[in-house]
Amino acid sequence: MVTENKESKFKWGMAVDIDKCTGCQACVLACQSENNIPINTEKNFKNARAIEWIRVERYWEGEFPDVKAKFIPILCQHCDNAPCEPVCPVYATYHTTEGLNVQVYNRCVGTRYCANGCPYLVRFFNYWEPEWPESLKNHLNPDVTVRSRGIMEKCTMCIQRIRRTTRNAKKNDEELKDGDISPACVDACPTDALVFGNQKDENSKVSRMKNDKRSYTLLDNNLQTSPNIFYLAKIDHDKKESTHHEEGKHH
Amino acid sequence: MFNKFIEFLKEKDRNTPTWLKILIPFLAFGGLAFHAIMAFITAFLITAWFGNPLPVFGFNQSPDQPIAFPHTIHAGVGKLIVPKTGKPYKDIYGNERVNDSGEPLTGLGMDCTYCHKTVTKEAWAGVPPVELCISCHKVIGSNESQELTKLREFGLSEKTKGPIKWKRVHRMPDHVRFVHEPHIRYLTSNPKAIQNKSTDFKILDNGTVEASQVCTTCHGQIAEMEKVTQKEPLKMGQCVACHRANEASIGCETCHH
Repeated sequence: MVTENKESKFKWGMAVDIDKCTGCQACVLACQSENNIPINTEKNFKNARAIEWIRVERYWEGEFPDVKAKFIPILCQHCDNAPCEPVCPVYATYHTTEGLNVQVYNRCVGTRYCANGCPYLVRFFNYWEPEWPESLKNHLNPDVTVRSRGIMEKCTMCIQRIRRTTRNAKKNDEELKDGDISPACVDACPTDALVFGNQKDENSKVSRMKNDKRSYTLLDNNLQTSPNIFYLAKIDHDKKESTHHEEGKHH
Repeated sequence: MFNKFIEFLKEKDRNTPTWLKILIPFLAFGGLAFHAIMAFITAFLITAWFGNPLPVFGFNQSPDQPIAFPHTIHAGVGKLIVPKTGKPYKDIYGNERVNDSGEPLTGLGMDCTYCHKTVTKEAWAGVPPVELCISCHKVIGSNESQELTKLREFGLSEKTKGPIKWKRVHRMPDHVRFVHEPHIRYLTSNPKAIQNKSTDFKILDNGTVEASQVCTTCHGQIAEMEKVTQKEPLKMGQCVACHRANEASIGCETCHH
């Protein structure tokens, strides 16, 4: 459980406009290459042991031929009241002062309690030593640790990019502006469905989207996890406008 | 002789079989050897835990480089003498670094950032390309020197041209992200935090120091090393102690991500 940190200027958050998401999977691919995630084979998917820090879930609505597809990108929700944190016996997962839920790889002993506790299924265990074909070995990101066998990994909100941008801003004596920092998935999104920013800045894009009437958080009403990823419900033109908000709450 | 010894053993203690009598001294020696090995492994683990591990099993703090580059003559300042003994430095062939009249050579006093250019801008300090070495050593240095001949093979001759494969001495584990740039930036403007200060340490008029005065904090007196050695253990405790003392961030995500 994390109380509001008053010292830090930042509380990172992300907003996902589901209405804009086309389910193109560009975020999945960008995340895969930015964060040195091993290549998922068909066998891994069949065993439900594929590692995807962000995944696009697809929902069908209605009967054929009146079908509608709905896509929801799901990544680590960076919950303020994260169920994964108190169960770790070695404090390998904890909350930073900037509101991120991070995994300390060198502390992790691989008990997998956190993955069992996570209701969003966004924590992944390395069942094997990660392997890449020879041609891809020089493509690894030097700013991200290659996780070895037997430890947990999860979305870090591209903390290497956050740190790099804040460092460069300090170096050049500049203030961080909204939109300076963007995780790989946000960078890759062709429709700008994903937005990253500082929630403590009221004028930032993510704060405005958070206060939008379409905004809702996943499983929050039932589990009280208070996530920092905000979803904007899909606009359905066939339904009346008043139901949008309720529909959002329903998820 | 041998037969007499066997007969002596047979008569010594009739209840014990002879083969065991022969084996007993070996067993005793084996126990000794076992304890010696265990003591050695314990010593290795203790040294590795508290500082640099013993230089065995490939744990070498000063590996042999493809070219024996002397930091003494390039980065050293003033007369090149070992501070402890007062004698001139010796190169890897055992020759003293003296001029024709027998006096110790004078160090060039080159700035660290002349070769390790990116240290003030990037994560990595960087090793210079062969061309930078060659820009001086095309002319400077005798043809008789074996090391310079090797260097010119790397840099000048068309057939063997290519980068030098230097062996890394200061290496962080894979789960640590160390960035040089902010450390140099902080320490140049806060000279109080610098440790292992060099003999020619000098604070400029505006209260800062030059970037080359900072390196000693983690790398030791490189200018006094004929062959670069890792002097500081560079363990996490050292990082955290310094970060605490200077009120830098000590969250895990600072370095581990």
